[in-house]
Amino acid sequence: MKLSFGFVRDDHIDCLYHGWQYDTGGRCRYIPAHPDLTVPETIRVTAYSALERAGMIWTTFDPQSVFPLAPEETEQAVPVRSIYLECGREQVLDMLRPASFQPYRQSVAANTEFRSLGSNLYTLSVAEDTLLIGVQTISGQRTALHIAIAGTLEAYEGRGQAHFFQWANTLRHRIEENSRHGLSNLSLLTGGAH
Amino acid sequence: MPLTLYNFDLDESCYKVRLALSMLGLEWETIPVDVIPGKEQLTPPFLSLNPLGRLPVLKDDDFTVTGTEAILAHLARTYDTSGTWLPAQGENFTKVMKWLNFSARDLEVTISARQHMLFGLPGRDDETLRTASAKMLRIMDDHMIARGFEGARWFAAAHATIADIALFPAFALSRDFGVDHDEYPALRSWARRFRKLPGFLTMPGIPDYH
Repeated sequence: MKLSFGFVRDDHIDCLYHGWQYDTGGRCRYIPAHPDLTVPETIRVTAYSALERAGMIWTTFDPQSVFPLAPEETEQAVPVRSIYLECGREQVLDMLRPASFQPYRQSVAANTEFRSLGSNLYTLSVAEDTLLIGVQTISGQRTALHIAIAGTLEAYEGRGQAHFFQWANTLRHRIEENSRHGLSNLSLLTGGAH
Repeated sequence: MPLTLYNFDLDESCYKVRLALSMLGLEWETIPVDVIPGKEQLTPPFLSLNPLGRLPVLKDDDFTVTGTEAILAHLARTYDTSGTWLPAQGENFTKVMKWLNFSARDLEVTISARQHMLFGLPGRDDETLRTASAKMLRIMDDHMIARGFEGARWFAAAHATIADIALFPAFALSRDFGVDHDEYPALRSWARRFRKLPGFLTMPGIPDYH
């Protein structure tokens, strides 16, 4: 039974199955069937470190791993959306690098700057606007982009979010078209070989 | 005036009608129809109610209504004194119609997918059905993300309408046809709100939580 099926109550997570309650460190603190029992320290689940940054929750399977500390510009973030793509990480990054967008806060034409802020966090900036883009590798053929705007809710809530939502949808469409196109080229090549 | 629902518990379209009846605070009688394995809906007594051989069928006194969306509209228009479940006019009325149309036409693939995977009823292959169904849920999720930026929390109006009832089961039951909820965060939030509506009911495949 996955703990994610359970319930968060105060700062404990309760397993759906028998209601065992675990604290934030993964240690079991209460077993409802034995209410008077002091739960032995050995009953625990694996805890993974987690961090909220750039409007996203980051975690890792590697307990030794240290989160790359992003610059302060990522501290305030306004969520836009996540997009899930049927292609590999490198293919997505190849489409992301040359991507551009219309700025929201200024209507001047400007170049788009693409930067890496660590292994899985990138930014795209135009004029005063910066998008934070988390790249999640789900499998070799599946990648998610989690997109947020660097800045405050006062600046971007509502219309600003909608502006970049449209951009994200267009990006998704372009990546999917590219992916489909790539596949049809591949099958043409295969066809030629036979 | 007695309301009678010809019902099969595992049918998500019957579930939509049960939801509407319950959320409108109505009382109704149920006549069970043995769809699986009996195929009773394809036999003459039932075919005289609906020649399409499909559930749900609602009898309101001696008035027979077929077609899920028509039944939802009938119940809302006849019994909803608040007038919110089916707005009488304006853009909200049209938006409800748009999503009822989506439910009747575009979500049909999710019904096929579920019947195919749960009951082995004929259909295209699993992967085709799953992909086509996920595409429809994505359209719904995109819509609800955009609605969120406008401060709106329901599909067609500032409050729940029969559009939300018509759309809920396809998402809530999507794990039955192999589509998990992880990639639809706006639908997850909407489903949580939907579950809190007075009169909410579950069905097999939709637990009390999540």
